[in-house]
Amino acid sequence: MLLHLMGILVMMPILFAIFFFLNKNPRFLKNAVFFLAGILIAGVGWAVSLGFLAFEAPTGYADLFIKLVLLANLVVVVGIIYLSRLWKNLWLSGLGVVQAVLLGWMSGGQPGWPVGAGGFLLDHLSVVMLLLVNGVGSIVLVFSLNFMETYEHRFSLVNSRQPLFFAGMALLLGAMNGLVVANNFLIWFLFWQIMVLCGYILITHDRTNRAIKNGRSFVIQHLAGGVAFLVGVVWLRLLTPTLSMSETLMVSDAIALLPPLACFVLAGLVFSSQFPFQSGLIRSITAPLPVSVLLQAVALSNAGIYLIIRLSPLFMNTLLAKIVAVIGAFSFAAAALLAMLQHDTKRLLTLMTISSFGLILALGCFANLQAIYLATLLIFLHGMTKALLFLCIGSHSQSRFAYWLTLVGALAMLMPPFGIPTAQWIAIEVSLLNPPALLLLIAGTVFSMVCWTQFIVKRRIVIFDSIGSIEKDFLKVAPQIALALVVGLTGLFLAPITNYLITPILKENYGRFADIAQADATGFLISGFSGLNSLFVLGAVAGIVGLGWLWIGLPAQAPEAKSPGEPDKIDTGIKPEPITAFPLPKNRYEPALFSQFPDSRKTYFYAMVVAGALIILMFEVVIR
Amino acid sequence: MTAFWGTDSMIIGLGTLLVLGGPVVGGLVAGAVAIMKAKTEARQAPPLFGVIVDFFSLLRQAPNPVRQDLVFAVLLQLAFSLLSLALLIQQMNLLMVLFFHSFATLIVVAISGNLKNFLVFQPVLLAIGAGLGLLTGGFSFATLFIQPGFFVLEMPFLWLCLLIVFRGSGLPVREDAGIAGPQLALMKLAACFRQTTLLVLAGAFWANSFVGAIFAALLIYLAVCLGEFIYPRLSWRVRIEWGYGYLFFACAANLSWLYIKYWL
Repeated sequence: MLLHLMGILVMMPILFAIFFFLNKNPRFLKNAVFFLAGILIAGVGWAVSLGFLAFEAPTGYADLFIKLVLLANLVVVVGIIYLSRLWKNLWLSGLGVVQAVLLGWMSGGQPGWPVGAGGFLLDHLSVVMLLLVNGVGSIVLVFSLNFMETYEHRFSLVNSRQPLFFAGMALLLGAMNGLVVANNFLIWFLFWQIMVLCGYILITHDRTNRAIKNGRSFVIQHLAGGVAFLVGVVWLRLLTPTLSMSETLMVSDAIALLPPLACFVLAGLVFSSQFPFQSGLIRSITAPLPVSVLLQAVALSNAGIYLIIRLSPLFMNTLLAKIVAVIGAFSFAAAALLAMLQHDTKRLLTLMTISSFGLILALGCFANLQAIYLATLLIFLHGMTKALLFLCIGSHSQSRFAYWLTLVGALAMLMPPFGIPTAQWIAIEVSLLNPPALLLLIAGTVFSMVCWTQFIVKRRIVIFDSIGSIEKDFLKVAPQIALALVVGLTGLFLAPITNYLITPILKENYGRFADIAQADATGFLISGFSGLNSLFVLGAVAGIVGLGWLWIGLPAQAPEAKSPGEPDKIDTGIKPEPITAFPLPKNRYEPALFSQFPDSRKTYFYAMVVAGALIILMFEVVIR
Repeated sequence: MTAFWGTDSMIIGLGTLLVLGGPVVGGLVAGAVAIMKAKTEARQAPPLFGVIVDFFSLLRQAPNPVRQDLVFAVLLQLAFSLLSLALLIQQMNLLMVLFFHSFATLIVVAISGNLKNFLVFQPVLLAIGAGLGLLTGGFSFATLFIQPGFFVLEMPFLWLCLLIVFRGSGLPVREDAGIAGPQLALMKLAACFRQTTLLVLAGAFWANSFVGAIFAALLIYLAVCLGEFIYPRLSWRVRIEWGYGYLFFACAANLSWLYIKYWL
């Protein structure tokens, strides 16, 4: 059954990617994208109904299966080394060679290497990730159709690059699906490498010098994370007889595994772009907007957080967990502080993504029921709301409706239950015995509140200045409306959804903590209101009343400024055309409130130095 | 639950007293302070009931909102301010109270274009909550009242920080913010509730003594008045420097002390 599901969620996107790349017919492309989105949504619906499933290669074939995986990994690494020759980049060559050596040693090393145990696993944590990847990913695919058409129009391209672009997107989604259900560190690594290469294809879509430079820097940074991951795999294999994730989670002496776990944490920090590894993700915003959505809200960065959350039961209640919580809290505060200083909305949202991942990371390190519950939930909710925000700011139509939805997304970030405030409150509560993390979480809480408020205030001004018109082409705003509906319905039925999806995670993954695994978390988000989350009801009522009030008070058309002495305009009966072409909406704004702060480059520098020191401290403590 | 704040009827009584009486007493005290200030500046003093009369005259003015969203924001911050006070009186989770207080303050600073103020004072408020949490081992406001002794001896820096936060929490509304008439009156009322919340929180520093709590509240108010006379207006840069140069450092030092003493 799991293999059939993987056929739908992993193989189908890969096949579609090949079709997209080979077939240059735009009509085919459009229909195929819709078809793929439908397949992914149907597939994830099936995955939700399946629950817990595992697949192991049949006895006798397990070794062969893992050897094939190793071979595939080696092929990817050889490809990377070839790329490094083309780019004449020593860093990339070095990283590729190190990866090749580690993989080669594993494949031809001691007897019994590697171990075939593992395969694939569908548990509730995977299901939550699959929901995010395929639910939001499908909407982003459909959104990209209209977006890329207008985007490429800007460059006046003779040959459209959309086939390669959509091939990259489909391959990225397929690889992320594979990564989510992988139950073996080597399979996980294979899908990870494929995702990094897809990321490069997507980031360099524009083929400008800047795009290529950013794409290369992205690849190098993530391959460095890959090296840390492989070192962790080798170290783990030296200490345990298995490379299966689920079997590793059941190892009784978890303290002995702290050094390889620190390597995995380092890889997770790089993948999720935590400080000081934030530059790759920030630079990637030069890519077309759907790429940013996929990298930040759906796939690549989420994979890093997913890795750490998946392995966190092994190092909870250890010094490593305390240090990782401090690193997460630091990223949470530093990224939110830098986000306040930004002029560019995309950059602001990217920094807030890093900040939110920092919060999730900090929450995931505390052996506390509420913290783990919220960490898992926040991965899902953050992905949806962040995708909504990105899609709305990227709307070509500049419609007032898109601005409204942006406002809804930002409010969702600020108000319970999506926000971040509920998670912040719990994070402060559980970090009481970790003073550095506590102070950083307090600072980060205030920074992020100010940042979102500033964002909402500026967006509100844009709405009331009425720069756009109401979008008449429904299809252009359909993806945003669909995502807004998903966000709203998830919030409304958060309690039953979490009872079905999140509560089982605690039992499946946190068995070594009896107070978490055996706790009844079903009532955590329910306290009255006929099973609806009370915090959400409060937020929703405030939001609906507020939006209704705003709607009533919205001026029909913004009054135009008239210079003294200018005669009144004569009504010719010709209505102005709505603004539909480029440039993109006014995503630049002046953060006037903080314009007098020192240069944010210095802040970046200091933040990276502190974060680097924390990571050195992490290894120093763990190795001791 | 012990002391003066135990039974349901006491909670309801105290809540009613604070919600209804707080603004009246606050208005009278504000009038008295205005008289004191006028005397120190050698100018004609306003009447004692001036603040209350102003409030009602604002409330009677015809509503003429420039922007509908501002009206909503004013009502929302009033609701959150009242909610934070009500939750505190109900002895709910202290962090939840502080978060609702933060939401209310956030709306006010967004309206008045004074986000920097929030940036300075709100971390301190959360740090005070964390300090009380470290001292009692949890964030239930009810548990504060079964602790022996005066908290102020354990949290002197946090106490000083609370004084400063209290001084800063009476946020002025910009004239160009579009708030006038009844909306301005409601903002003043909400500010009164938020200040009452902080005073109740300050009373917790003398939690096992009713007289001590009153004394603490009076001391805070006098200190605030003194601060207002000495430093009538500080620039935001000074506030930021103070905020992170002194307040945050002082909070961190006090929290570290509590952690070392009780948890290490």
